[in-house]
Amino acid sequence: MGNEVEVFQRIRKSPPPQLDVKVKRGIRKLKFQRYAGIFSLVFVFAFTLGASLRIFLSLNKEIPQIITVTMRENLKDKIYPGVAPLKVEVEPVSVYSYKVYLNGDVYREGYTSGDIDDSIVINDPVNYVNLEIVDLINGGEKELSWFVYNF
Amino acid sequence: MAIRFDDVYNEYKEMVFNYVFWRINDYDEAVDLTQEIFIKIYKNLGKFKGESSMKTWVMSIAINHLNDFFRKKKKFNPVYFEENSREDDCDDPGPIEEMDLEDTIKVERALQKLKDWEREILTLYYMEGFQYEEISKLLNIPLGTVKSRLNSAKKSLKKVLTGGVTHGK
Repeated sequence: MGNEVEVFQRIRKSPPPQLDVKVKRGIRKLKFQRYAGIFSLVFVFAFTLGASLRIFLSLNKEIPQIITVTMRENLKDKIYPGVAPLKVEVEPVSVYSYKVYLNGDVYREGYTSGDIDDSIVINDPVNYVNLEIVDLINGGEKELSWFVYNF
Repeated sequence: MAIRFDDVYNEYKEMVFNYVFWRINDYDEAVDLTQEIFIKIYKNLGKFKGESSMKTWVMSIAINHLNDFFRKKKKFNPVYFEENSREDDCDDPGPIEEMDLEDTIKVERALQKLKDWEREILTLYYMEGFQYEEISKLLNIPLGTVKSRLNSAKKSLKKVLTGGVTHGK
């Protein structure tokens, strides 16, 4: 058998040097694919987690309370000589911020727990008053507007 | 101790390439297939448990990869060894050195004219030095079939070298 083996050994084929390069390149590509796979899995996981968290938080968000604003005096469409009262009761008791706009400009800003007892100096004959109330604890807001006349 | 891929590659690249070349008879394609086989070895190196020798394990991956390759290409049209020809084939055709082996090119050409399974068994036995038992496991055939296939392949080679009828691929 010795000679037979020798005969076959003579016709053995050796790989070209570029095989080393090809194999190394292939393994580098494989490693890259593995890392890319891990990265995309992490990305998908993080995205899913973020989305789930967002949905969870939005579903569990407290429903803002209904704010009731009552005017102590009916101020709407009333005529006042120079000064119009602003007496408003806000329910339920909470911490509110409010803004009073007179003819589009901010006239007054403040905070209240329920009552607003104020007055507005009016110079124009026709005045548009707008009241914005925001509940700082429970969320929610309310807006009220009316005309007062100065004659 | 962890097995380093570089060590496996350096030790068996010649064996794998030679086997692949003699099965497909195409140098460039043999390079590509050898690369694919070593990528597969790299991927599966952690699964090697040492139940067989590293040489047998590497060769089994090469054989499976080539069988898949032929299956995919629908090239694989093996002429299966006929059991009824075993007795005849078991007659030793005589040592190969008695054949006209002086001309290496002639031997190469003769080998190329053999059937796929004939080239395969000659390559495994004579070029890569696998024993009958190892070939039997690698090709998943009985030991007797290994011996008769080897005799049959030698007979075919002798026939081609002496100008007899050739099988073609």
